[in-house]
Amino acid sequence: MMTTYAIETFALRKEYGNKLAVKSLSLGVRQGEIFGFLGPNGAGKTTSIKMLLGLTRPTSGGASLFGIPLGQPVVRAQIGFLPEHFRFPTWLTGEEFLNYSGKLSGTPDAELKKNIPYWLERVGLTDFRHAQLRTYSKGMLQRIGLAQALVHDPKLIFLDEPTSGLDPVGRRMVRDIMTQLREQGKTVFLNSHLLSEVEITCDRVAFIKHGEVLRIEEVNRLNQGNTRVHLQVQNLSAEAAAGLRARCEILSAQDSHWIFSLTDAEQLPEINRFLVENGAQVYALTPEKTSLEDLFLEIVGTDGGL
Amino acid sequence: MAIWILAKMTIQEASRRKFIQVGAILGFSLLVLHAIGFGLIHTQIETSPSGFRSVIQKTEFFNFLTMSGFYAVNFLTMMLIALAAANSLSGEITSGSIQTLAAKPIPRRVIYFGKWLGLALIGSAYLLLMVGGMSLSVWLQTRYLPPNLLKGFLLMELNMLLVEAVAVTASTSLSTLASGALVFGLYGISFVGSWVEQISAYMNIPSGVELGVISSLLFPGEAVWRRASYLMSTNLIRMIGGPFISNSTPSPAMTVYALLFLVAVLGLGWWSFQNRDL
Repeated sequence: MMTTYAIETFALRKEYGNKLAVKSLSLGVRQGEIFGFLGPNGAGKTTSIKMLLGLTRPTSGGASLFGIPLGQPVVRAQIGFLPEHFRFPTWLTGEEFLNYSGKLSGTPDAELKKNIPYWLERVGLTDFRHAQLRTYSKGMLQRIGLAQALVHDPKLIFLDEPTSGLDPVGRRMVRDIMTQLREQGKTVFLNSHLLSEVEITCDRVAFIKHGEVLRIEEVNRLNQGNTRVHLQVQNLSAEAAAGLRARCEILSAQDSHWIFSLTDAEQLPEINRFLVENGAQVYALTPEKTSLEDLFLEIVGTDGGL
Repeated sequence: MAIWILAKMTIQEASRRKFIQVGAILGFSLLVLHAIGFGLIHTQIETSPSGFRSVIQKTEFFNFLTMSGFYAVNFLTMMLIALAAANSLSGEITSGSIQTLAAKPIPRRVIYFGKWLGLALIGSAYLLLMVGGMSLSVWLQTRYLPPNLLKGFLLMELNMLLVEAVAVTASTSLSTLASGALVFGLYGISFVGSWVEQISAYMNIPSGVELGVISSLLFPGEAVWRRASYLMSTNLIRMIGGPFISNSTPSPAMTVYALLFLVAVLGLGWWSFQNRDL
């Protein structure tokens, strides 16, 4: 039976001497989704990825990729990895780097012949394919790293901070590639600090802190449920205030600024009409979206987990 | 096979980082210098009124000059390979580029032995060109070749592989600097030990000889070189001794020990790299 999970981990734990890097990581990443892995610095995100890739041995706990337990290199033929900080052999040219990467992943030469020019073109480095990586800029290294992670046509791709060195055009390119991968049914495990990007691209996100999953959310459900509304109003009569209280739940009221919660944003026009008809002067009536950043700060806390 | 890809990458890296080029220029300079020096001294003696007094004297003289060249070749090869090998894995671990490599669907042993193989090929080719080049230069000038040249070459090769194996193994867990220091330190101990052994043998001090043998067990490379120089020396030099051969010559058992040492060190490095976090 085909498993529907690309990644499953159970109580994965890593200690370096006395230092606890990952406490107990348990999660499941479904095949075909873009999964965001969020957490403050030092939360154990990179260590978690390293354990899944066999770079680091877990102290305890278990994990499997496509149903195959960790520790078997063969499964990595289905996996692409873009490490953070552009960690590549700088003495190779771009094209050689992709060629070696593909060969070591066991990709047949005929396939590499098609894939290498395709990915060089896709990341915009065709003109630089014969230059050594040591001459590349940060952004170019990140682009060639992405091509290296994809040249063998993997089913699961780990991207550790894939856009940190890129300009807006490059970021857009990475986003488009991730969307393209999802359309092809591939799974992307994205480790990123750029919450706005995660919000646009990811299907689900896990919030981790101290090496533990605090919560997993579906991104498109972030703004379902109650809507917070900010109201700025003057000349609000007692009757109008009472009418407002009857229609929604008041969260706070200070001077002319009111915050209230609505079960349905469709009520807003009616509330506006009611206030105006009762002589109130409305300066602002704004529904506030919960951004991923708000949620991040709410779940992880503002201390950054340190 | 993946191990060949790794070996090829290692050789390409050595070339791109100009290691091979620098080694080639140094080696070529050494060969030229030796050839010119040999020629000058040879001509001077041949043309002087006294000349070589006998064929034996001539042979001893050629042998001495060839062995002095081999001594330099042995040292240069060992130093170059130690430097390259000390950086082999530690360099990639420090820069992090090992992560890209180790995340590929290849076992760790392929990376470890692939790097080892690539460097071993570079070192072997270098040694072959140097020993071959120097022998050829001597032969062209005098039609003389030292005895047991092949055996001597193979022992020098073993010494090079021992140095490489210790450095690669150290570089799985130590920094480049520490790995280099360890190799040269070990070699230094066995070098000093070998002099203690030789002088003690000359002066008939058994405990000094034993101390020397023990130091060779810590690192048998110097002992292997001494056996090589013994085999390639003339009978007369073997009898009376000289700067490149010893009064206490390592036995064939030491060669067997060196081979076992090589396998054990390689195994230790494999185990160390297999079990470490990257």
